[in-house]
Amino acid sequence: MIELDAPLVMLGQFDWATWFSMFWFMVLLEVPRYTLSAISVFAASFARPTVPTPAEQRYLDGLKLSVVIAGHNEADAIERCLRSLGEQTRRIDEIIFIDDGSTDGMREIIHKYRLLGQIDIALSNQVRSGKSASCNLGFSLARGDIIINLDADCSYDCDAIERLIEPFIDPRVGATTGSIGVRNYDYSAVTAYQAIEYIVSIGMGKRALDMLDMVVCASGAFGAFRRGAIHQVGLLAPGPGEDFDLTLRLRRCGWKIRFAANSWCFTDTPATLAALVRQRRRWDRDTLRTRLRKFRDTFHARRRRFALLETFEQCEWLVMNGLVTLVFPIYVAWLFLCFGVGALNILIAVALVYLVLDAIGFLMALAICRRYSAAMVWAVAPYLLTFGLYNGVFMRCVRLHAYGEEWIYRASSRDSYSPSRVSHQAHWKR
Amino acid sequence: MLMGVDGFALTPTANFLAYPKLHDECRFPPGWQLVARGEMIDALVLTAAVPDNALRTILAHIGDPLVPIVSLVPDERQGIDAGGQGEQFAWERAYAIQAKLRELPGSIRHSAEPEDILLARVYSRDQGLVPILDSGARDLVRYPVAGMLDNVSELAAGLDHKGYLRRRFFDRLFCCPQCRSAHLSVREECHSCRSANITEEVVVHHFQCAHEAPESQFRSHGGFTCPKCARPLRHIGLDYDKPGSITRCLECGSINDKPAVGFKCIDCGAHHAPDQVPARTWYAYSLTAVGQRRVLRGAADESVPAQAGFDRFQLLLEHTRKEQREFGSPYQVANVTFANRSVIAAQDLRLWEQSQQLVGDTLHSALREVDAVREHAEGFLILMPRTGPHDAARALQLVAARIRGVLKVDPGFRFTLVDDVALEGFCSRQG
Ligand SMILES: [Zn+2]
Ligand SMILES: [Zn+2]
Ligand SMILES: [Zn+2]
Repeated sequence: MIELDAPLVMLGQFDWATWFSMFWFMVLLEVPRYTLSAISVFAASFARPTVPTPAEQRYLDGLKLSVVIAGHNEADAIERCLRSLGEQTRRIDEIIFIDDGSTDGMREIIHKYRLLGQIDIALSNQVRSGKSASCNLGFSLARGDIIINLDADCSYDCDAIERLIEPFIDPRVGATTGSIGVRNYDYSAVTAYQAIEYIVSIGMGKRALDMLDMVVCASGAFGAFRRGAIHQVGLLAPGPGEDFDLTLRLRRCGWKIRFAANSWCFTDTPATLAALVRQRRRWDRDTLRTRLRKFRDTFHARRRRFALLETFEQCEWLVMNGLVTLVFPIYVAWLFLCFGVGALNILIAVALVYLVLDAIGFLMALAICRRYSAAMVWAVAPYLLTFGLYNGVFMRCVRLHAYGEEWIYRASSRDSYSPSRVSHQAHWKR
Repeated sequence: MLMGVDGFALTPTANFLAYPKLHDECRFPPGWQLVARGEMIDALVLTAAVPDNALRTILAHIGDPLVPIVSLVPDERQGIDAGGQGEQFAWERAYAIQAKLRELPGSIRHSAEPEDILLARVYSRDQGLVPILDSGARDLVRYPVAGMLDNVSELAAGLDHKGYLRRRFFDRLFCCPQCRSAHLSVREECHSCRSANITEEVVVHHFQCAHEAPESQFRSHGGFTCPKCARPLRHIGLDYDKPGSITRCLECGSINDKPAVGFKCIDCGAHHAPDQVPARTWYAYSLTAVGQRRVLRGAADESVPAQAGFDRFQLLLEHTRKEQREFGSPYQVANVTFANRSVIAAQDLRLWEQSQQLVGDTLHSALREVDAVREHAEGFLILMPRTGPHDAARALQLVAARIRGVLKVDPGFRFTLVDDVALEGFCSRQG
């Protein structure tokens, strides 16, 4: 029988060496990350918010904006999406909708809104081409200086676009992405966990990465691109993971990717565990494939594409995600091997530390973002107690499983994300 | 057909006028004779192609809107009763028509009333008032039987309302909202600038690099290569496919899925969007038994009860008033109008037409059997016998709720209870 206070009692009984042998995983791999991002974000929160000078504002006002939204069977989302675009404080010069072979009447609906003048270009693929191809069609027809890629099933703050394009004052910026919040946080436990996950990752992780100039994914649901830049690197590659791939190519060509923290988009996250696992398996496989298979050369120092920052960024990811994920099961096994049943106590102690870290991270993220409603915070706060299990154990297992799948079977080649005839051709010929 | 009673029917010889002149070798059938000066003309026989203005002059000279006109040469103009089907047919047709005309009483035969003329023509031509499509007519539709009469469809609608003619659907044609001409050109055009100078282009999707763009981008480098990855596209279904198409305007450069449809009036040059173009329904008419009696007796037949389409409203109103005078039972007449009518009609005329029809149907189903409805230019008049003002208002509020439930647009239902003076104004305006 394990006493609830046993882990705490145990902690006081050991010397440093034993203590380290029990908690090395957390000390080596987890605490640094939390601490680093906490410190950097805390420092960043003191930095004065930059307001564009009149000249910069004139430059921003002169930019032409094209919004490209491609979707498959999103008929129900279009009205809400257009309503939030209609509320934007920044002028949008062109709205392009691409219906990718929908069968739910999306084609008729975008046609209707085009007749009403709320959409400028409404096109349809009779057969489904995949997210990348339909976005590419929109990108190749867009005439704006900045092309903003949005999702029909997201909704946006009324100043989202204005804030999203602010970083383009810097001519070296090729793409920006904004903060993403969870709209359906109160739907189920699964969405509540994700809401916490998004709050922490947006409030802490992304801000830290932005400070270090290491933002690597301008989201396909919420990203802005300089037209010259994406035409230079050649639009989107076949999916999945195409938004991440495009951002990496932009970085490789020397473009900066910025995170516009005050630009907010809200989306519905998967509401059931099965859907969540499906989504994460796809994301994790794509990330691994894109990073290791397609961008292996960032590790070859003599290659022309080598850049110190890129390599550091890749290493950071490798350690923080790859290594942590792979080592975690080894750590658990090792604990049981060394300490037998006592390992349970240690794991509970670890969980308690996580709880504290999570709570601190959550509170800091809330303090920094100042975007979440009190209702949302109170609704998701109880789930913090078990968030460590969700994030530290469950998600880690999903990720491990996905990496294994990708590594062994190249599963992402057979993803149903693109229609099979397309992805078969695209991957077979690569 | 010999009537045997009237003297002239026993002498079946008919007078005809030949124009321009009777050929020397032309032999007219027995029973006909060339008209002598001062005699009544039973038929006008055209022996050659006659210009419009000459025909009009000679018809004015004859002064009989019912006279049969037949042509011995092909002639399909309005008002020609036979032409191009052979001389034999022409003579027989003329004879049949003039025989029918002789059955008419003098009050109809010599009436100058357009309604009488139309009924007499329909009766004597014995084939109903059937429209034909004719590209030469401004409405694209004309009624050959109606001869030189104007406003035939309005006249016929009036006679249908009175029960003398019965209509059936013939066709529904769009007409210019500006000049009412049906000479409309239907075109595919640009959504932005309404130019017809547009081209369609297919969209190409290259599987390997996920590039998707109009075909011209793939053709610009001589062969058929991808502008994004520079690889050649060789095999449809394997390298690439064509998932859709775009329409590009060559005037303003705007791009769209499908071209817009527009109507251009050939007569006045005005341009209209499809939802601004009203449709006009055309009917064919046949003479009813009441109509036939009216033609043959020469006066409105009082013994005939009101048929469907007869002015039920007026009859009921008179009856209700009599009831009020004699028994003191109150009645109400409500004038229903639609505040949003002009707004809706300006946006989408056809939507308004449909809405108005729906409102009519809803009124008929929501009101009692004893109530009567009459449509007028601004809306409807509703007669509610044996009803006090409060009950009438409550019933109309129910009707308004029902209409709101049925229509997709809010027509702005308003009603006022009108007194007798205002009612007289309405009824006299109706004619
Ligand atoms: Zn145009
Ligand atoms: Zn290509
Ligand atoms: Zn016209």
